[in-house]
Amino acid sequence: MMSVEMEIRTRLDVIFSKYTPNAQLTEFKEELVADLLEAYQDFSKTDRSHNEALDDAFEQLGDIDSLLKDLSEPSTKEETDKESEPKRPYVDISNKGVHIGNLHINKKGVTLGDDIILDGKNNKVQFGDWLHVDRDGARVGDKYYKFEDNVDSDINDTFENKDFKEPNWAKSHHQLTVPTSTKDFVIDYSEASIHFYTNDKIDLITIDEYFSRDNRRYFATISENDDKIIVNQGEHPMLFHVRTAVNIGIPRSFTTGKIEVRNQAGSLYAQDLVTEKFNVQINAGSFKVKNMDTKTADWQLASGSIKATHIKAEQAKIHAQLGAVNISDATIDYAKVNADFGSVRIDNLVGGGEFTINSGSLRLRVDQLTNDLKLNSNSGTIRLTAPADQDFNFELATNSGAVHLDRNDIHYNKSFDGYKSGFVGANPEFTIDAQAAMGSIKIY
Amino acid sequence: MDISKDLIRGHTDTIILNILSQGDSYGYQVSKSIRQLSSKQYELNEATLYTAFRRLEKVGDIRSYWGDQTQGARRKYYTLTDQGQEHFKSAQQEWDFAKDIISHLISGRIKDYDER
Repeated sequence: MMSVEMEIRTRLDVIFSKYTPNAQLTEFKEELVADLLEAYQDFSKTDRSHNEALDDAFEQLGDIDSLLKDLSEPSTKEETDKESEPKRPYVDISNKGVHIGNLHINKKGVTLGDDIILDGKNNKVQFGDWLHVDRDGARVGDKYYKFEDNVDSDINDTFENKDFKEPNWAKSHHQLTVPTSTKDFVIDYSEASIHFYTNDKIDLITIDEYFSRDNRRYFATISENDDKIIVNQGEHPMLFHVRTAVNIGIPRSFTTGKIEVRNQAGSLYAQDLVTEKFNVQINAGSFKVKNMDTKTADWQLASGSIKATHIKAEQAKIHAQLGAVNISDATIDYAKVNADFGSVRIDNLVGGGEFTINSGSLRLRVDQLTNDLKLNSNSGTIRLTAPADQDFNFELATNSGAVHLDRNDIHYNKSFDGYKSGFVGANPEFTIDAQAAMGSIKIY
Repeated sequence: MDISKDLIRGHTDTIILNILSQGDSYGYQVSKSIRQLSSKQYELNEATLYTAFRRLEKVGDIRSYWGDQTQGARRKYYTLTDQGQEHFKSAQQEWDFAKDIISHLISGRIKDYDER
């Protein structure tokens, strides 16, 4: 007589036979064997026959076909691609892609034979069974490396759980110190998670590097010229992922510090810092900052978001090409904020300046104006909560859309649907100038 | 009367997190716990459950490992991660906040609220 486990396996084999086998499906089948076996044992207590119990066990499983389809997806997709592609010459270059033998490069990604190497649609890299990379992590052979996923976590989580100790995944630690000076202090990394904090030193900047692999070649190097001290990331292999975290401690008394941070890919956190200059350049990644007092700030992000809270700056230039800018509780005498694709939201601002968005919405709540305010939007709405107890001049213009001014004591010079100018109150000092090409303007 | 699938669908993940927050478990046992917690009023079919496990594992709320049964098939266990614990807590808070309001919105009579 066949054992129950074998019967379960045989039935599962029939269900699974429709799908091209892969590791995920095999693992799922094993998981189901144990679960079905136990379900069978439970049903046998009440059911009269062996088959009834077995059927009941399978019935309570429900319809697993769509899940099996999901799990088998990559391989079935390759097959349909193969069938639909007609015979082509060995080398074929057209506006549809590049094909050399069984290497195909097109908008779907890069494939070599049946292996998807770069899958543009699903954002992953896969090479046979040996290498698999997607946004969650990378598997090389039988080792799995999980990518950092703290980019999206809440700003408070990030800061309050941060103890600047060695991460649990670290395989090696490298410490550097740099004496404070009047020179620009430049941090230049290609891919790392970087944290700035205040250390307990008098005149030493501390740099603690942590790596998920132990190799001295990954360690950063320091170089110096007439006006800069530069910390450069060590070797960073492209073929496999070396997780890198850097904690940079700035002495509390180093308020004249001029700091520049470059990170090609990765996140940057800064908290409790008093500096003269804090410049940031990130290609892909996010920047979160809490409690910062600096004379000047210049933050440039190509793709990624900026989240800042409790910021004090005389001048701040903030530019996000692709991503949102989110600032709260800020005193910035003159801010120049720019977002190309993404929204800008600023709460409890004391200050003034220029705020420009190309596509996205602009939302500002100003507690106090200390400068003129110039708001610009190409496509998207502008909404501004002006200080309740401050009078102001205004000039509001939109090409398509409406202008709303939701205040008492308004004195209009001109008032049309898409254009309004004048002043609010009796003693206007600063001017609010808002222009929207497409979209409405609302001032509260 | 059965509980509406549409009503409960958005809470599948939270239900699973609640069960795993009380100890590691495997597919069949989780589905039994759901039956038990709902006094047999609700059954989550295992297909839905396994799909949810994969989703939760992908976002990092749960992790899986193989049990070390010496006889029979090995079981695949699921365990809550720290992140899953956090998500579970906030989902519970969201629910506590929403449930009274929804109840008022669905059963409340406007005139009982019309004071002004």
